[in-house]
Amino acid sequence: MDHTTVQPIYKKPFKKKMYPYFFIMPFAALVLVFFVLPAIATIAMSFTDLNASMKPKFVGLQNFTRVFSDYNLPAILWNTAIFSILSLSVSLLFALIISIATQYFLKGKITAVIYRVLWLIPSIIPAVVYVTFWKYIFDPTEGGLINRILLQLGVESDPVSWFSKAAMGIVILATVVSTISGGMILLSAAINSIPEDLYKAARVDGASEKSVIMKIILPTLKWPLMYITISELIGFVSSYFFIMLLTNGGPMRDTTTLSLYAYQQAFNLKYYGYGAAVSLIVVIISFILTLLFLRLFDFDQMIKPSRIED
Amino acid sequence: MITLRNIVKEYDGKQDSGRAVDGLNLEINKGEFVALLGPSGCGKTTTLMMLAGLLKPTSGEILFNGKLVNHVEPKDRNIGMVFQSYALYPHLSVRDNIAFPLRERKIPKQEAYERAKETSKILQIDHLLDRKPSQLSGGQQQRVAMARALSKNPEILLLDEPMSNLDARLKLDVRDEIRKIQRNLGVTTIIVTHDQEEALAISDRVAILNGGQIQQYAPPHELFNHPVNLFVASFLGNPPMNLVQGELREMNGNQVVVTEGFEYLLPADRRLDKAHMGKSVKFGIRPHDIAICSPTDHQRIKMKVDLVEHLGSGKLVKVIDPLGKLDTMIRLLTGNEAEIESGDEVYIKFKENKFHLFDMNDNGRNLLQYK
Repeated sequence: MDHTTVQPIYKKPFKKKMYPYFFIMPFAALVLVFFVLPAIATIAMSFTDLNASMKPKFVGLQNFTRVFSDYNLPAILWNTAIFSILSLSVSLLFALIISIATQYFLKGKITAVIYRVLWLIPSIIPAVVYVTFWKYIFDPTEGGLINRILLQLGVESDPVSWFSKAAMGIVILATVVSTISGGMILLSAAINSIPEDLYKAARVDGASEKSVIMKIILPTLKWPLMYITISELIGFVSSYFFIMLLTNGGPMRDTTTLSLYAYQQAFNLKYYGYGAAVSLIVVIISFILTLLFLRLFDFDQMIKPSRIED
Repeated sequence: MITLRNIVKEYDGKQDSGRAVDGLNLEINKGEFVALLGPSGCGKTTTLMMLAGLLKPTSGEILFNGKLVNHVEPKDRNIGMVFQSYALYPHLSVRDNIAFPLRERKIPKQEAYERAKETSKILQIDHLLDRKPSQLSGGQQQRVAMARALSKNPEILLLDEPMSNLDARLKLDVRDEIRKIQRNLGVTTIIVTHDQEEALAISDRVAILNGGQIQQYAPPHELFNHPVNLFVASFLGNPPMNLVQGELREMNGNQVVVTEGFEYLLPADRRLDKAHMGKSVKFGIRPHDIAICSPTDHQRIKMKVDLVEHLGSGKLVKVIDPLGKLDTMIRLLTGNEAEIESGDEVYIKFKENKFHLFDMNDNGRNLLQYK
């Protein structure tokens, strides 16, 4: 071996600061193809009269003026509001009650764990199976669970048609039962992170359970609650899956929400342009609500560093 | 006055169902400052938690002023407590933190805030009342925790390692201040600590715990000078007491401790009962009770210097057997003026009546313990 041979210096083909972008690229491409492009396509579509004939023509704001003059709109907006507000408040309330009950009052007990696992089941099983279960419970014939019980007890003499009487109630019930667990997990984790010493100090200070909940637990839950409120609200405003499977917006339009309406216009009636315009309005509503709640929860507070080091 | 009688605490559901506290007896006088000192796992924090009422003893009695309080809730015991983590309520201001125990006693807001302000003045934190705990330094948080504990004028103040999160210099200040406030308010105070310097400096009496039992309960100087057993002797003191394995023998009418490296004649006023002769003992003497002496002194021992450490206030000298064959090793403290280097041969001498003899057949009981 000759010691004087100079090793050829390996030269990297790109500048160093380029490399991070190469690592990001594959996923960025996926995001572009499956999220950004469809979003742009939707926006573009909403300004055309694209329908089953697949020959789009630019129509300007015509779709939007049609939405706002749609005689169905007031009822649909009302349904959307009722569905979202009731689902959100019931789901938040139950998530809060379950978390405090299992992580504070029953902390460390096996019953608490079992109870929370039970609540997880609705969100684990496939939606179609889950909806079939609710359909069986509220079936309008004698075969439905509730009807059978009521008939056997002699409360009612004829089977009750639940879906025509309380369709919105059933839809909200089914949605809430499957979403509670999400909030429950986040809130439980947050309560679990409260140091044990705080509870001990509260006991020494003679704090009532109400004070412990109001002054120690709830303030800790502020940021998780904000996140859950916003994410669930967006979910409810834009969700149509359960409603479609349970009632398909009926009876009449009693349970049709804005996003279900968009879906029906686009995929049932093939008015793609009009459907795109309606779903764009759903996005705008979600965006405004998000900003509203960020302001309401004083989001700036969380970003501001408060710790003063000495 | 606080009395603990035969307290036993067993934690159930643990793998080793050993007793955290095993038959503990303790009496604390009104206005006294008592430290519970011991290595980790000795049961000192468990004892404090039982005094607070946060844990219930498995058996035994806790009496406050002669009244049984075993089943009295913490809030009804009239105690204030400072936790190691301070446990300040993170979402309440300093003012609300200090006023919290008062507000929970249904004291009107105005009055509670006024009392909070007074208490905060005692602890010199009245300029921080509007801050949140996260905006305070460690030392300030510690003061807020003290203020919260004191705001309800408790009869008993319980401190659970209150200074372990402070740096060494701040510790000294806080220590003095806690002592001063305790004296002024006359509140009976119990502090749990693993820092012996802190315990000895601050308290009227120190209870040394090990294995869930009190080893010795006495004023600091007595613990230091007259330890009842080997555990107390070896636990206290830094640098630690020298302990040399030996045997008691009777020689020519004299009582002698015979060790591998030296023989030590017991002085006349330290003569032991004849029954102790032949026993295996540990001969113990503290480093500052050993002096370097001249080659003509009585009871001198010839040693070789192995290592000299400069401590600032003096020198710590480690001496070994001059031939290097035996395991005998003794540490002694000298002044800075002593000119000693490693390798030197020196004569050392034990200061009279400063030694201890621990009976190895009787759990290390000190045979020279004063009655």
